[in-house]
Amino acid sequence: MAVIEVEELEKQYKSGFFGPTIHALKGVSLHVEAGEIFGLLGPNGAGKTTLIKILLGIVSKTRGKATMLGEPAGSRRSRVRVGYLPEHHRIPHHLTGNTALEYYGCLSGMSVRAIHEKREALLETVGLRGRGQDRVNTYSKGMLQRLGLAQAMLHDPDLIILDEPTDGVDPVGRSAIRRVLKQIKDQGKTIFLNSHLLQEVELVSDRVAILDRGEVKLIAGVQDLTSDQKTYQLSVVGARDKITSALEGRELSQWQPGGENVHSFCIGVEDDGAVDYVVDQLRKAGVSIRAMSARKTSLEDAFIDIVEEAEVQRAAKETTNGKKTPSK
Amino acid sequence: MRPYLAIIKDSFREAFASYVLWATLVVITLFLLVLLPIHFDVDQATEFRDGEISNWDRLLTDLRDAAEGGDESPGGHIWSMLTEDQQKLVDDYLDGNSGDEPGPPGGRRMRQQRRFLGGLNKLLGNAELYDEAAFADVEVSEEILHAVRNSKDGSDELKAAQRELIAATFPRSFDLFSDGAVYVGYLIWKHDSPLPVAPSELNGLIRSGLAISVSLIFGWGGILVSILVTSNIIPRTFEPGEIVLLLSKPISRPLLFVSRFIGGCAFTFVNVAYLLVGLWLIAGMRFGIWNHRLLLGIPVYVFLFAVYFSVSAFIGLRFRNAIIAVGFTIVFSFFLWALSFTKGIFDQVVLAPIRITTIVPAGDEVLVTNSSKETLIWQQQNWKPVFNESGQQGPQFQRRILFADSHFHPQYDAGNDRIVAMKPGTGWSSNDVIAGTRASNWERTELGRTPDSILALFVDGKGRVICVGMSGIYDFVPPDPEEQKNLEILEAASGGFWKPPSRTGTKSLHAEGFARVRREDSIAMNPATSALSIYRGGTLTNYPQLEDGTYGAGETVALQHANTESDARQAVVAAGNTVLVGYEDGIVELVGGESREFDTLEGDTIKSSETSSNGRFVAFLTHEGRVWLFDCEAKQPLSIRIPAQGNVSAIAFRGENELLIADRYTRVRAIDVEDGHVLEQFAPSDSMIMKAYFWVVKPLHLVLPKPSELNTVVTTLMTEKESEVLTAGQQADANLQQERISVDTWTPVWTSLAFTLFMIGLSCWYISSRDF
Ligand SMILES: Nc1ncnc2c1ncn2[C@@H]1O[C@H](COP(=O)(O)OP(=O)(O)O)[C@@H](O)[C@H]1O
Ligand SMILES: [Mg+2]
Repeated sequence: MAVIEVEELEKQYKSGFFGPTIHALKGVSLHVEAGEIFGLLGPNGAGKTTLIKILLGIVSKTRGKATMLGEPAGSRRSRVRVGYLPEHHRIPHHLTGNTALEYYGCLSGMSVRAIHEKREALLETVGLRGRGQDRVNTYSKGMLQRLGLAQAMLHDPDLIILDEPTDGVDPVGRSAIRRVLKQIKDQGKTIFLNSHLLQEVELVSDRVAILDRGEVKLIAGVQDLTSDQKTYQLSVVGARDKITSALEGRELSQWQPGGENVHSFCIGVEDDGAVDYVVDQLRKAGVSIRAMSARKTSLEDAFIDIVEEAEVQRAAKETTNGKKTPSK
Repeated sequence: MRPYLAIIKDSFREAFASYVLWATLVVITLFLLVLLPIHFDVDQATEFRDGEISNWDRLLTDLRDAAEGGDESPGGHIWSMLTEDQQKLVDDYLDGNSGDEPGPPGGRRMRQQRRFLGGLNKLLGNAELYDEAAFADVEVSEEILHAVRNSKDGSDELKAAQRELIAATFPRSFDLFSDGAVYVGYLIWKHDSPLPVAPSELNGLIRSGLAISVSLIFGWGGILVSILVTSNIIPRTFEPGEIVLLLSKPISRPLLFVSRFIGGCAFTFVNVAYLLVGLWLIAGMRFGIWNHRLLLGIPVYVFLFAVYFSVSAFIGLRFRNAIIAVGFTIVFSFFLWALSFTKGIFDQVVLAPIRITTIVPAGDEVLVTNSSKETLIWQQQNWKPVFNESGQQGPQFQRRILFADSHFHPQYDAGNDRIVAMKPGTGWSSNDVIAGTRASNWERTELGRTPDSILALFVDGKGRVICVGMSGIYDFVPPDPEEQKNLEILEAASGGFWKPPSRTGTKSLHAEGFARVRREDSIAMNPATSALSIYRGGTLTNYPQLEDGTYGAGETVALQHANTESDARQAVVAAGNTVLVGYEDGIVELVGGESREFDTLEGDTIKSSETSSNGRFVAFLTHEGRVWLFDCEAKQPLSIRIPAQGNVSAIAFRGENELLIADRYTRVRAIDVEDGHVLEQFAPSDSMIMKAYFWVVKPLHLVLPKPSELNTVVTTLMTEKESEVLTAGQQADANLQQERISVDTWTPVWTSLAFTLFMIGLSCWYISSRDF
């Protein structure tokens, strides 16, 4: 069963009465299966938080379909079995670790007694043992993030949604949080993770989606992206149409012209035998090979590729439109 | 329910975590501790107080006269005990000399009184003041005599007893407040002269003292502090980092806001509850006054706060900024205050004085009088003043208060084509009747003077002006020619400086044994038969007019409602072809035959009655502005739609079946009694000031909350005061017809509640329809 189902989801923010409309999501579709850790990757402003907020009913969707745990997203029922750690969250300063858990637990519908029973162990899990009595305004950023995580886990939800969980947390803290996530996954829960930090996602997720400017660029298993495919970069001399006809049926990417009849491109191959085949085919067509190097495709490459490609496309579009690229 | 309780609980937690709450609680504690040592002690009164001598001239005259008869009389004995200085003081006082009293003559008598009182008080401790023989005839209780004889010289018992003795000696000149005296003290200190209240008044004094101090503390300062302290609750809750987490929980947004709102009232609740419970305990344990109504202040003040908080919360929600919320709320409260003030000015100074209180159809013209006792006539689409006293002075609103109790009773006398009325004075009644004829453009002249205070005035079927006074029924007759001549000679001799009091004489029309009419009684005349009906506190007497124009001996009719309902004693009688009595509790009783009661007026207080010229229709008007019509032929109430029902300020019949109705201060409309059709309208176009009132001030005042009125409500609740007061002459025997100012307790509560709910609703709508 899909825990999260999103179909052609669109969101337009209207800022102010006469302000511009921001198209934050432009038809996003994705499915998250039960028991997996799903990572949503994308640069800042991609629309990741917006997607989560629509799922939780914090903002309304403009078009499309979204369900969570079998209920329409945004309905009160759909939120019962969900734990959420928002980005930049703030816990009121008059609370302590213990009272904060009590407060948020009650808001999730738990009884005070049940909260008291679970509280100690949970604080221990997230690494806040012995700090429950302290006011949250004495907590560091990392501790607040762990308390937030504890709050999201408190009512034993089936789905945990984390928005930039390691943002502003030191490396030690990060690995601690990763450990907790693995624990949660081992309990058979589903985790939906948002991040603009690739490594975080790469290290814990089962599957990832890359979101850029409101559009899903890729959805794949982390395994596929990191090991199954190999890419070689070739630098050759010969006409481009000769090259493409010689390698008919293979995907060529990242064409870069390097002077008179000199080309550089990338090609994905399954195994070493395929490399020989490619070389043979090129030689047969009279194309001479100048250089050839293997590239390991990691998630990072994929991410940068996709994002850069989109950047280039946009720049091109804007120059043809005669507009200036806004400097950031 | 659990999540919302958690939110409210969190508000308390937050309140207790803030230093401000502890600071205010400390301030309240200090205040209560300061109050704690106050004590009131009730002792025997051992001296006379200012104001206990009700008639100085009589006392001192009696005293000096008694002295002339030697010291065998009690007065003579007292005189002999006075020092020479004191005796001289009495002489100076009575002869109007300044004596050895220095200072300006203005307050001289007052100072002389004080000195005499001081001397008299000294004498009270003197055992020789009592002389067995001299005081033999003075009536005092055995107890006092015993105390006077046996108490030690200078003791408090002696002083208290001799005080009573002297007062009993001159019963007409003394008016002792009570035999106790109240002293205020703090810790071990005790004020050495008593408070100017009797012990029996102490309870009420403490109650209103508490109510007033509470309303001062909370009505103004406390609310402001609460608004300041709570202003950040909503903006903070709706900060992006916090609200997103709250909204992700399975709770409803409106209820989240409402819970936060209720929680925001926690701060005020804790403070108000602490102060009021503290005061309640102090009043109960220290003074034995367990005034549970004091505790009513808790919900009411929290409500008063909620009114402001609903504004502050909405602004805080909209702008997510506490400073804007506070600023706006303060500006808003000033606006409310200014609006309330403006409305008060409009009501009291501009509008109340011009409200039509009587309508006098005069042939084909219409005259009206307003509450400042001005007479106006409808000409050229406007009300023009006529029939007014020349050189009438003072602003209208002042005249309204001044003449509030005076009767005017303008009537049209068709036979002479003139208007007659009682001359309004500053008292409640008058002996003078004035008239103005159409021929002389309604100019006011004196018609005559009755031998008695007039209570009602009518023009009867014979065209005579009939006055009903306290002691009888009178008619005016042309003056005795002899006397008239003498008076004219006198007037001429004085060079026109002296005017004869009256140029007409009066004739009594009542029969032997006419029972006295008091001013709280009600009198009506049947215009068709000229018979009079008088309601005297529970009994109704009908006086038929005889052939010769005099009135026969009354025939007393039993009344049902007046006998069964002892708290509905006051009533207004209406004399149509059947007589009806409208009671102060809104019940109308049909008198004669099988008597019947109608209670369609739902507890309104009946104010006045009118009868159509043929006696067929009777109308009652209530203080609440409602009209009740009755058809004496069908013996049934008329169920026509009365325009402006609930706002009617005056009614009158014109002819047989036209009813004139005044509303909206200056508008008069004539309606057909049979079908309620509006036949004619006399309404001047609104002046700018009226437009401003009707289109701006009044609607705004209606929909916006009324915190200052609410504050009054609390004080009223806590002191158990009557909710209705009369104007200047507020007296137990006031007539039902007198103008009343009603303090409306519940309207401000309802409208403020509606406003608050509206603001909360607006906030709920806002948060439901927003992306966060
Ligand atoms: N409440 C909002 N009103 C208007 N625009 C918004 C709002 N929230 C986000 N946006 C815009 O929508 C886009 C996506 O934002 P967001 O979902 O926060 O991206 P991410 O979480 O991937 O960084 C951004 O351009 C952002 O400026
Ligand atoms: Mg984000």
